[in-house]
Amino acid sequence: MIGAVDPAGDWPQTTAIDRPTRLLLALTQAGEELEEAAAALPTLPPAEAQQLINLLQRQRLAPWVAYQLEQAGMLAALPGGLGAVLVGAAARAKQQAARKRLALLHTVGCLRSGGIPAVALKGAQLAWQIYPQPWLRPMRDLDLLLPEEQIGPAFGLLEKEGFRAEGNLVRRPEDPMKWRVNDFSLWHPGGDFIELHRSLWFRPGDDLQGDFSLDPQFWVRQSPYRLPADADGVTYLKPDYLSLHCLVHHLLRANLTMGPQGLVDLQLLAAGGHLEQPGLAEAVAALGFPALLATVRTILEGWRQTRWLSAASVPSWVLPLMMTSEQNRLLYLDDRSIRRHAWQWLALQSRAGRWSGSAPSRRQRLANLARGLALLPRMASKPGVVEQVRRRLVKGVTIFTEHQLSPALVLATHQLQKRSRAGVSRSEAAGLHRPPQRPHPSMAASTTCHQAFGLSWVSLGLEIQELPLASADRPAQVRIEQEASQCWPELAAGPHDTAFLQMGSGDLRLTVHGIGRFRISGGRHIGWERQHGKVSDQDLSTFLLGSAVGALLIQRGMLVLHGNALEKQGRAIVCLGHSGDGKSTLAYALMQQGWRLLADDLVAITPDGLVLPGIPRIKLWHDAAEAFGLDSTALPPIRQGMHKYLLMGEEIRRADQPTPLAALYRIRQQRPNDPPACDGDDAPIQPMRSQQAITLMLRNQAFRPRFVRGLGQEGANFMALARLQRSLPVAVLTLPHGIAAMGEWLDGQELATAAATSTAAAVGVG
Amino acid sequence: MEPYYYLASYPKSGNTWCRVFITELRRLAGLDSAEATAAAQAEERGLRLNRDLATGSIVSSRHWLDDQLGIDSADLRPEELDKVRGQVGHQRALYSESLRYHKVHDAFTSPDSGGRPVVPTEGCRGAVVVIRDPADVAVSLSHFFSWDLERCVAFLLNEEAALCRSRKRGGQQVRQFMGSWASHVSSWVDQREIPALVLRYEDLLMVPEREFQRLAAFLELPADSGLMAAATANTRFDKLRAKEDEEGGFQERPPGCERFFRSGRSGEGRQQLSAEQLARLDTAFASTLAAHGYTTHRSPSTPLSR
Repeated sequence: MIGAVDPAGDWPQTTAIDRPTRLLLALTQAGEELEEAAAALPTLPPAEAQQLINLLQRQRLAPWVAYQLEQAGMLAALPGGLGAVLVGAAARAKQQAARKRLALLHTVGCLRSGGIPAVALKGAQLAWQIYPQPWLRPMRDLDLLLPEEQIGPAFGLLEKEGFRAEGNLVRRPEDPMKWRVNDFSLWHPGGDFIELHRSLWFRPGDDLQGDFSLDPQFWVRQSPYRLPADADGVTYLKPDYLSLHCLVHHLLRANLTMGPQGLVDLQLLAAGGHLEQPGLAEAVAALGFPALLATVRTILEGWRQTRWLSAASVPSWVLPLMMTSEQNRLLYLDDRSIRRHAWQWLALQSRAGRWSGSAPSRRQRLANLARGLALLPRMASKPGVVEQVRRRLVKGVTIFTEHQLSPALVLATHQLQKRSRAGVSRSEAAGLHRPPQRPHPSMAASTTCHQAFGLSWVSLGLEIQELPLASADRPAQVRIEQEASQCWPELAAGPHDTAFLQMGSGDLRLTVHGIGRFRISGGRHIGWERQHGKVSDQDLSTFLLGSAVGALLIQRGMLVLHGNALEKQGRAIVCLGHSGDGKSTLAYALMQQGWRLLADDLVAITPDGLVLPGIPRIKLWHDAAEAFGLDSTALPPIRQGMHKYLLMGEEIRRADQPTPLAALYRIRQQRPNDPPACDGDDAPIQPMRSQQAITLMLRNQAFRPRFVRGLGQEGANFMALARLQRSLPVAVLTLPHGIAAMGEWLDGQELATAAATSTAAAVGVG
Repeated sequence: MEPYYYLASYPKSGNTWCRVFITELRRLAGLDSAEATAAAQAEERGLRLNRDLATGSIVSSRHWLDDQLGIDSADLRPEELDKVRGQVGHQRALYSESLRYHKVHDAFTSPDSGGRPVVPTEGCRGAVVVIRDPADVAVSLSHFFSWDLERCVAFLLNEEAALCRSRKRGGQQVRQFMGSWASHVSSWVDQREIPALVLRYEDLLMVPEREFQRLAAFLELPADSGLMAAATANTRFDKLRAKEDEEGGFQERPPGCERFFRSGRSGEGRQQLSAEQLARLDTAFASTLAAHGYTTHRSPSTPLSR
């Protein structure tokens, strides 16, 4: 439950604050912290200095930091770039503050002339009442609170006075979005942006209670909430209500990047004694958000203990909370309303997008729309959605930010939301907004044709570098393409399913956590879905080749073994073993002896005993690659950052024709203390005598026996194995320990015939 | 899902001994067919002869994980793997009935498991947690890995210690995060997801009847006195050791590498470790040692009164 999140206990490491941000926070403080931070500035590397400058400007803290440093006598000692930025910002802030004051007086005067009362909120009050100098609290716009019924008249009045209600930032009262908008906006003739609020934080359908601006007493003459007008005729909130509003705004509502500036606001409110007003805690409690109350209590406690809300005295979790203000609202909400607030969040994002001025291209928006729509019905219908969203929030990474939502998407989600409110079932809603089945046109552009396992493959939108390329003149027998897993038909639970695998006749679903999902169906189709944008093609193709291709071959009734196959002089051997037994190492060693690689990992054998050319690559661990004298830095890793490498292309001697199978070996590693393999006979190649033992071994060494059972191919597989073992020499091959010893030993062997001769000898003796 | 138990311990703490006892008790009680017992014994022997930590033990087995995950687990990074290992099921098909006591050296959670158990817990009846004086563990590790004592002490103290940790080598087992000895013990003893029975190796040596009785009761195995006495007598440490000599017949034992059932004594660590090494262990593990009745001024240990 979101409401039960303990912000103090659950805060993740991932929001750790980097050094420029830490410096920024320290520079907003006083005393030692400020001095230490200032002393660190001259030696700051250029990249971090630039990051600090960006932060100062983005957070609108440059004037405050300039003032702090000047008060401490350290402004002059700053390095040139940073000093110039701060001094320039302070000068601009002074000009802006003077202009904003004029705009404020002009606007309030206009309204008063029409008999409309107004209260200056937030930044304006903080600047002129709380901060030592007004220019230390820059603000983007001027916020005024008006009685709700006066908003319309005020708009008309101000437009007559030359205020402009145009442009994409403006929200008029007759705006279709007004049912959920709290403030309406227009431009002052002098270029400042004015917001007229009809309430402080109430929105229709909102969970947040206790908005005192809606109290009938608010606008009466002797209001318990408002101060009398100042000498210029401007009215403000009483300080305890200012504090309450700031807490709600900064901790719960702050859009955009109010974090560090909000902290300075709270510091100055605390320094003025405004956070200790007796009614404040009660007022916060009345909001109905226990977690917010806890946050406020912690801040107050920190203040009481140290008299300064420094980065050190504020509990560590408060800072990231403030730094990730956009996510805070959801953090405090309870699970009942999570989805509704997710929609609201989308709307908020869309507004932010419109404000940013960088409109996404039409194509981008369409792509976003498709991706977002694919996501939303699933979110809405999934039982674990609350937990999922909570986890993502706590990570500081939301689904929404990942998807860079566009206005078009938000409108679509509103429609979806309305429909589900109107009683349309979720699944129907999901059906209506099914994402396009075809991949995005730009993705479809990369179509590649491959040849492997005697089949022709076509892959749309996924580059599979390990599969041999083929010309496109043969019709594809297997199609590999991107799909949305939510469009896959339901699959009844099967007896061999696991948490990661669902299997039915001719249909297998595989989930690889953090990578994606695969559906393999009918022996002709592999659908894949990327879990998120950071999953690379290489990640996908690693699991596609390792599991999906094997499942597909099993669906086609082929005998698939887990091992590798090599060819020499027209005869093939197959080496079987579990992961870690050393198959790949042996394969590479054999290639040094003149063998050519037929297939790695997956070995498909035809009913008449031919080994089909498969995936011509092997995967070697770092230590094996080094032992073979390969330069591992020059080899591509199987996946980014892993110390297991792909050998393919020119690194591989490859056989590309189906080849009759001459012998089959089960690989074992000789371990230092091993007893001899069998009956005191220490020859490394031990024929397997018992048909029963061979059957058991082959069934165990089949590629993923669970797939075979789950896909209902056990019968076909059994017959194929029986045919194979009737005619085939099988032996256990115990590899000498160490790559050098292995190479030396292999040098004297003839593996194509060794199993057979051993078998003959064994039979003869028997 | 079939019920199963974990036998959880830091390496070289008596885990295998408990498994051998369970196999013997089940054999004597007639719970398993002769084939099943032979299979269990063969597996046990295989585990020991393969040097235990290098292969085969079940919960960290790649073979088992690959089967459950449907992929080659070596294609995942250890941190990716730890996130999903807890969701893996124990499927009956792979293992015989008498082997539903899964050995595990992993700590209960790892830094990569997101606070969730690394091992599956669904359907798990409980965990037998076997602990042993870390000073003795150091000596035993030293014989086992052929490491000097200092390296073993550092390993016990290392909060990031893990088995099969190399990212540059393959192997039949996945990485098993353990942390320090005390963190490892606490992870199992303090978890609240599955019932736990704590056994001290020292008590198994000194009062085997009583301790194995507790083990049998926890595992809901028959525990009448005649059966218990026979099973305990058949799995006394010296018997196991003699049996290992008998069936081992190692021909090429590299110098420095010992048999599996080596000495079985307790108190060796206090004799062989330096005062400084003992002090490091005692200081770092003080609260855990005290919690489990280990006095740091080592006189031969007395059984914990139960």
